[in-house]
Amino acid sequence: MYLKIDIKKRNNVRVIGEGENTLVLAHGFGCDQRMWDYLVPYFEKDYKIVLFDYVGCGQSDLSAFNKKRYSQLSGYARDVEEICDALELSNAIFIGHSVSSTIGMHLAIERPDLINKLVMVCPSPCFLNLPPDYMGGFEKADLEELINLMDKNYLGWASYFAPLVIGEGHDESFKQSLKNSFCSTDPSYAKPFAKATFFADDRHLLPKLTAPTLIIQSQDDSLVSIEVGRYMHKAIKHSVFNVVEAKGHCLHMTTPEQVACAIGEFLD
Amino acid sequence: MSQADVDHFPCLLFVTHIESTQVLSGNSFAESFLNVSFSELSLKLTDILSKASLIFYESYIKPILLNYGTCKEVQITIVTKAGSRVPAVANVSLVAGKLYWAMYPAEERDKLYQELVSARENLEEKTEELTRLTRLDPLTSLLNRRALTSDLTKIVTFMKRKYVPVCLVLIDIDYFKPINDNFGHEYGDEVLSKLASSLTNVVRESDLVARWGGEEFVVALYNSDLDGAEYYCSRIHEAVQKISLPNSEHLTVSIGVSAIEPEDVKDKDVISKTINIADSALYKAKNNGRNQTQFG
Repeated sequence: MYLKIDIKKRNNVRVIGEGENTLVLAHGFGCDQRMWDYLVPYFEKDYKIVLFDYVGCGQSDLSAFNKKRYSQLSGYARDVEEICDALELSNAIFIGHSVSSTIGMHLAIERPDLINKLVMVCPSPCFLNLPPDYMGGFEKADLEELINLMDKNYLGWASYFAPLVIGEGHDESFKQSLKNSFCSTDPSYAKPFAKATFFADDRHLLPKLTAPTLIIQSQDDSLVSIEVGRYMHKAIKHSVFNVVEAKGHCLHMTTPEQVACAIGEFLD
Repeated sequence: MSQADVDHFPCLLFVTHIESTQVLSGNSFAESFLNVSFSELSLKLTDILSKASLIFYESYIKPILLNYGTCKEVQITIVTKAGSRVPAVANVSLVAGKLYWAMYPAEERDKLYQELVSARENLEEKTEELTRLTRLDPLTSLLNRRALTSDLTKIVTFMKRKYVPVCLVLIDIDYFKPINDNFGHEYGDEVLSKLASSLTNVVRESDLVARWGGEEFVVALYNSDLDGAEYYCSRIHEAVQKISLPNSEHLTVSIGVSAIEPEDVKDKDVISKTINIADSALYKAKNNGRNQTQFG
């Protein structure tokens, strides 16, 4: 449906760095491509780096948002697919944070020509507790509370009554304030992403993934337990499991050198 | 300011380590509110916040703090040691690897916000429902004339950037007036509804089906040239014939088809012009004995 130039604009695509191989960096739920600013310096000398915002995030074209498409992770995978095709990429190395690891997995299975290797930073194929076999860490009620918190913080953060005007009623200055925000909780876009992220169960895809995969986890991540990492490592055929000496869920922001080091080893 | 003074502020003040999330120190208002002791070295942010708040912290608060050093007026849920959940509003600053939290319980604000959220959801639902109603024909639940024109305008805008063949198919029921006269208007309505569902079943999801007015319908076939349209029209004739009338005759329709050509796309009246051509073709089909398709 979109021309190449439109895709680049739609997803606010930036290509930087030099090198024969390409890294595609995919941000997770909540923020935008700026979360990679800490990691990029480690790779821009040796790799071509593709950065982008999913539609509905960062400075993407919000008018391209389609609730149906972006209510499922496969819709976000389509964004990456279209970006890769628009840039005529093949055999790229996909690096995804958190839910983007799963999005990358969708794409690597559907279009193995695009993705050569996969790096998953703090991934989880399913955030839900599904006893007795699997404990993703969260109950449905937790995730419903999250949606509610997003709503309330949107009211608290944005100009107060703007979100009451829905549909095409958003005025230009309001749109601008959204564009400037790094992490937007605008319910129109963030809620479908939150639901797609936290209600997904893509465990069945893990055995279908054949691309060499690096799973990077932290020693203590309040969103993803070590067991989830082990589960993924066991289910993905060609996977390396690396628990780096760091804590938290945003490793690429808090300890970029360790993450860069782990990725460097894997790619060499 | 003395520690005693800090302890008397009616808000939760505490410091956490950004990486380990360990609570390093805090005022006694916070300790008594949470019913914990900050001297317990094992106390972490994960023990104080609800799970949803932790996701919110990792997805929004932490990235904002790392990028901007401060995060203001963020609502989260505190979980006390006794297990009660309290909505709270926090301002947080990041200084040298430590997070400085100033938090106050905000139950009243939360109630107001809950009301606003519910009001918005209510409005959204109503708007969605109203939008749906303004787009649909009440009898057949197909798109109405205005909705079809609006959707087609969007498609034509897209075609200006990248041409995709689109055919407009104008369908008119043969001898509809006698059906109404002989079997009553209610029966006539039933026939319209039956035809509507036949049309919907025959076409693809990407096609648009609308009641154009009276006993006239329009189908917009997306990504179909005239050959493709011919195939769909034959299927329409087939499907319509299955609708039998009380006098044991079968329903038939006459169809006029017209394609939106690449050179027409820039014309601002392209939709009405294409419909007019389809209408002339339909006229030809009627004059030619009905129950057939003609191309314009």
